Amino acid sequence: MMKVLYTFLKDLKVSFKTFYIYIEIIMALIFVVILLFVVPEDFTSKEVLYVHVDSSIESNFITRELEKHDDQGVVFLESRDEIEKVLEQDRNSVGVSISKDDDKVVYDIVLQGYENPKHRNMIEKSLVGYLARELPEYKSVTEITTLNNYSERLTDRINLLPMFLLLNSSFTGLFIVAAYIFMDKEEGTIKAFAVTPAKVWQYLLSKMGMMLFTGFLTGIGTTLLVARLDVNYFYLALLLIVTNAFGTAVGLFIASFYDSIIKAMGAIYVVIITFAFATISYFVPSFSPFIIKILPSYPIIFAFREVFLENPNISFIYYNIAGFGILAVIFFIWANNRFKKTLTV
Amino acid sequence: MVRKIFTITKRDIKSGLRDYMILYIIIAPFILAVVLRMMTASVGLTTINVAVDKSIDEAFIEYLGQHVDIEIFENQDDVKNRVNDTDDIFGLVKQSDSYNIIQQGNETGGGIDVLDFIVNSYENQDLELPVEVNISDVGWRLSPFKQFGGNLLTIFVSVFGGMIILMNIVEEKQENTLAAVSVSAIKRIEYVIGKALLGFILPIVHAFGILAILDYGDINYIMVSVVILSIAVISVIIGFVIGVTNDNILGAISSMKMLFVPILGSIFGAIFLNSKWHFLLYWSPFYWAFDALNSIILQTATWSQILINSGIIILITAIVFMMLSKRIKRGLS
Repeated sequence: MMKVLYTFLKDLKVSFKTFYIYIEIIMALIFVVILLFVVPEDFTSKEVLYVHVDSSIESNFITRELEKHDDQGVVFLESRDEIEKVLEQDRNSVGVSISKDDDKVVYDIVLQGYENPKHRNMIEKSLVGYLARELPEYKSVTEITTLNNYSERLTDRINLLPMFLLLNSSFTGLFIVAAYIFMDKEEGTIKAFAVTPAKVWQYLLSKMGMMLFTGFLTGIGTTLLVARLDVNYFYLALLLIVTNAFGTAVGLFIASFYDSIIKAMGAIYVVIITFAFATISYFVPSFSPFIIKILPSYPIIFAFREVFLENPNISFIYYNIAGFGILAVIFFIWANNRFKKTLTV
Repeated sequence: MVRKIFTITKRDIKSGLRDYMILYIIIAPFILAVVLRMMTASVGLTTINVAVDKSIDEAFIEYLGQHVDIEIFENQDDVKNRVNDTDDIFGLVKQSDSYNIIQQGNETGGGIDVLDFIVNSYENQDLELPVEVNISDVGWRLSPFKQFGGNLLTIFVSVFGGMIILMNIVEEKQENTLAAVSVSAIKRIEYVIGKALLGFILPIVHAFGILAILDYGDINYIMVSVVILSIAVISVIIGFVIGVTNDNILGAISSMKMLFVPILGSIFGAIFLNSKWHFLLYWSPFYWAFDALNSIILQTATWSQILINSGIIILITAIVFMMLSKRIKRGLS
């Protein structure tokens, strides 16, 4: 173990020389500045609903109901034609034109056109259901059960942190560790290492420690500056350690297939971009196809979200820690076996 | 002079092809565009996901299936477990003569109300409503997911050209060929242009390919070229700066990583931030490129807008270049 520690300290020294550590810290600080000073606490923009109520309608009910949602972006217009014009200018909006035909009130919902049939039916039926509630013979047949009464939502700003922790702190090793190994190869360090009594696994473990040092530092530091003390740091620390080790082990494993950084980097880029797809489902939780759910980054980003909640799902966090801990060990052993054959050559 | 410049470019392509990196960088964006196209084909707009068990009869399941996405489970416990999963999905089970809608509690948007109305509208089908609901549209077939996705991808890969330049320079330093170049008959400016060419050719090839694969219809490719060329300038400069200031690949790659923050930050900002906050992104050339490409994709772009946006990008680039030109010169000598 002393050998690992010695190699690790040597690596740490080198990384300060190559400015690598400084770059990581500066990047984390830039992110903090953007989050604190550029990103508003809540910024989600909502769809605007453009409404035209025909003069033949004398019901106050409609206007009253619509005005209830004034803060959610309801805009009244003079005619149906105007709705169409505005919709062509603003592609993130929908409209409704309300008029009278004989004795019936006609709700003409104007959409953009890219909505699939299910979505259209959903909008139609929910409006029908909403209006039917006003009838005397209407009977409600539903009750709502909430499984987790402590459910809370994070602010938009805090909600961005798990993405940073995933892509920057967890996967910093995935990104960089190959560059480290090949740098050692280029500079002949590996050859020098080969004649020492230290083992390959000790060399690799020291690299892992280096990555963990930076990932942990930037992860905890960023969280501390943005979310202050409203975070469960114990779980965050455990998650950071395990997921960072997993990322680095995968990076080592990929690197073991190549003999130059340029080749390895291509494969690593493809893997990172693929992993990053999980962030789409994180921000749009109703869109989570199977193909995204099987990515390792998918549970990790949601596990990070839990540490910011007042009542985190502890079993989910531990399940992630155990799962990625085991995976990290497997990939590490795998990479070590491959490097044993190739690293000293 | 031109021949010498091309010699440098050709040499970079040759050495890149030797270790597949250039091939990767050339092909990867197209693969991503194909993946994005497959994803957007199935997403008209996200709908509501509902988990039901066997207590819901077939006719109702069929009715629900016309409005929401359904997953069927054996019993109520399985439904609850599914609802407790990480993504947004509601549960629906029947109890004697009423329905129980199960939510986790942290779902986004007003999905629960919509589902409530849909379930009740099924049970109240016989009611005579004094209203009529019609759905129409203005004939716009491009979903926001595809609109923003292709744009994000195009701008994100515009830095790949810069990345290749950076890798080539670092490699030359490691192999000491830079010193050899300085004593050859090639002028420094020829060398720089030769190196930079790839950084302009690649983003254009990528942009055309990505936009064609995603099939945005009849968009103006000349406008696309103008925007991409102006954004490529900044990537090329950054590629040079990182390349000449780093002696080893480690610093180079971690510096490149830094670039991703302003790119993704300004694009996500442009998509999600309310327009009143957009002024916060005016410093970023990537914001202006995104804004211009967005108009091109929506087919509402005018030449004056494209030229203004590209002008702003070039202006920001010029400022960056003035700040860094000394370092580039020093690093290359």
